[in-house]
Amino acid sequence: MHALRLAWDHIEEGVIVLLLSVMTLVTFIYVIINNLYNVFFIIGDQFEGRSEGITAFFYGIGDFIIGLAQDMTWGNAMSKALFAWLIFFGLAYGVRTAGHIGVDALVKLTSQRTQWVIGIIACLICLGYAGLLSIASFDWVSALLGTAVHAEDLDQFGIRQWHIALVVPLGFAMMFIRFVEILIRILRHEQTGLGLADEAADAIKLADEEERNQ
Amino acid sequence: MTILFLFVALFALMLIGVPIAVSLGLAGSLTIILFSPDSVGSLAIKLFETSEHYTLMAIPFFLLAGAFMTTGGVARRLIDFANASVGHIRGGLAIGAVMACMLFAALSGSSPATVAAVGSIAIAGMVRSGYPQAFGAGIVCNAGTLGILIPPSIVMVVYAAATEQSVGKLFMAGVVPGLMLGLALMVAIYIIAVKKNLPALPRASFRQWLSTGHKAMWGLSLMIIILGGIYSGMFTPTEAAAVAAVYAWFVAVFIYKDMTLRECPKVILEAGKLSIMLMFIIANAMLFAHVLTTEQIPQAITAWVTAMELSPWMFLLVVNIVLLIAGAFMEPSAIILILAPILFPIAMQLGIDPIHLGIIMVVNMEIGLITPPVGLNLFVTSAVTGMPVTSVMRAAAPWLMLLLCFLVLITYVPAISLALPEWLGM
Repeated sequence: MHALRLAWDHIEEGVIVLLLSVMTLVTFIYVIINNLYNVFFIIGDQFEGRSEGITAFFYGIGDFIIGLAQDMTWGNAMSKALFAWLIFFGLAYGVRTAGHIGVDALVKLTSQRTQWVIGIIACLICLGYAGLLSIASFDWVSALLGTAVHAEDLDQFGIRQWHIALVVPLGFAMMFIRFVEILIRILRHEQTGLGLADEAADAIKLADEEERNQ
Repeated sequence: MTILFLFVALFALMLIGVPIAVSLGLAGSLTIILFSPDSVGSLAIKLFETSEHYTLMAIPFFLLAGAFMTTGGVARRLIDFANASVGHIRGGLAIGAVMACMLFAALSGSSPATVAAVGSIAIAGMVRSGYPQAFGAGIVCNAGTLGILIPPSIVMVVYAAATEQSVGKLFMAGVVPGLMLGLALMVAIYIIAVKKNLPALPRASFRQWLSTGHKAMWGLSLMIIILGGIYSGMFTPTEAAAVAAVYAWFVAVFIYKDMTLRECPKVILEAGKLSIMLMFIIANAMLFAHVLTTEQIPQAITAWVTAMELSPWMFLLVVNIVLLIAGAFMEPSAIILILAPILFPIAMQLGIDPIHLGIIMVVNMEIGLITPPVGLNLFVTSAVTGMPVTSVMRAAAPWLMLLLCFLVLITYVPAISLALPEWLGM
C-alpha cells in the first residue's frame, strides 16, 4: 500500500512536469515555425534577378514551412488543452505539498487546542468545496459525453471536448482524497492545520539550489 | 443581501485559514447555489473557462523562465554586473542590489521570485561588507516589488485578461515608472549612505566591468527577446513567454552550465507547482467575479458613484485607498480579477485611461506585497535572511513611504505611464 502510494506520488509529479514541458514546447515550436518562413523569403529576395535557381530554392523552403505552419493550427488548441490538464490535475499535488496560500496569522494567535479545532473545521470546509465541485463538474462532463462535442482544431486526433473536460472532475476528486488524508493526520494529531504555505518557501527552494551551485 | 453574504462568507473562510482560492470559490459557489437559478454545473464550466484564456497561458511560461533563471545562475551574474557598474558609489552594494532587482524584474514577471533570486545572494554580500542586515533586507524587500512593474509582469497579464486591454501596451507603460522607482530608491540609498558613512567598493576597472557585462549578457538579451518580440509584433506576449522559457532553459543548461539536464524535472516541477497554485486562485477569483457580475454589482456601484458626481481625482484617491486595504489581505491576481470589473467601468465613465488605471493598480499591488498580513515579499525576505517577519516589516517600513509618494505621483501624472506607449504609437 505504501509502495503504491509512493509510486502514485511519482507519477503525479511526472505528469505535471510532462504537461508543462509539452505545453511550452508546442507553443515554442509553433512560434518558431510561424516566424521562420519569412526568413527564407527574405533570403530568396536577395538573390532575385541574380540567380533564379537559388531564389526558387529558398522560396521553396519558405513555402514548405508555411505549409507546416498551416498544418499546425492545432498548436494553440493543444496548448490550451494541456493548460487545462496542468491546472486541474495539479490541484491535488498542491494540497499534498501545502502549496495553496492562505492567511493563518490570526489562527496562530489562538491556543494549541483551538488551532486544532479550527484546523478540522477548515479541512472539512475544503472537503465540502472539493466534493461540491467534483459533483458539479461530473454532471457537466456527463452532459458533454451525451452530445459528443468535438474539440475545436483537435478533431483530426479524435479528441473530443469531454476528453479535455474530464480532468476537472478527476482533479477535484483527487483533491478530495488528499484533503481526507490531511483530515486523518489532523485527527491523529500528526499535524495542526492545513499546512498552508506561500510562494516564499518555493521561491527559496529555487534560490537555495542556486547557492549550492556556487 | 446576496452581496453581503458573498463577502461575509469570503472573509469568514479566509480568517479561519481556508486557502484563498478555496475561500473565493466556495463563497462564489454557495452564493450561486443559494441565490441564483444557475445550475451547479455552471460552476465547473466557469472554472474550466480559465484555461481557455490564451493570455493567461503566459503565466506558467513566465514562471518557468523565472525558475530556470534563478536556478541557472542568471541572478548571480546580474548581481556581479550590477556591482561592477555602481559598486564604487557610496552605499554601492545596496544600490547594486536595487539595480540587480531591476534587471531581474525585466526578465521575470513575479515580485517574490525577484526577492528570492536577488535577496539570497545580495543581502548576505551586504552584511559581509558591514551593512546592517535590516538595511539590506528592507531594500531588497522593496526593490523586489519592481518585479511586477517592470515588464514582463504576471499581474499586468492578469489585468489585461480581466479588462481586455493589450498586454504589450501595458508592458510598455510599466517601463518608465519602473525605471523611475528604481532610480528613486537608488537616490534615497545614496543619501542615507552618505549620512551613515556606509562603505563603497573599490571602482571596478573598465575591463572588469566589460567581463561581468559579457557574462551577464546571455541573461540580459532575454529582455530584448521578450520586449523586442512583442513590440515588433513577432510574438504575442504568450508566445514571447514560451520563447523566454525555452531560451532560459538553454542558457542555464548549455551556456552557463550551472544546471545539469538531470536537474531540469525538479525545476520544472517547482514552476509547475507555482503555476497551479496561481492559476487555481485566478480560476476561483474569476468565479467570484462572475457572481459579482451576475448580481449586477459593478453596475450598481457605477450608478452610485456617478450619482455622487465624484471628480476623477477623488475617484482615484478612493481607488488607491480601497486597493491598499485589499492589497494587505489578498493575493494581487485575485484583487485585480475581483476589483477590475468594478473599477474599470467607472474609470471609463470618468475618462481615465484604461492603461493608466492598470499601472495604478499594479503600483498598489506592489505596496500590498510589503504590507502585512499577506505581504508575500515580507515572507520571502524573512525566509532568505532568517530574520523574523516582524523585523523585516520594520526594516521595510521606512521605504514604504517612498513607495506611497511614488503612488501619488503615478496616480496624478498619467503621462509617466502613457508617454512611452504613445510615443511608440501603440
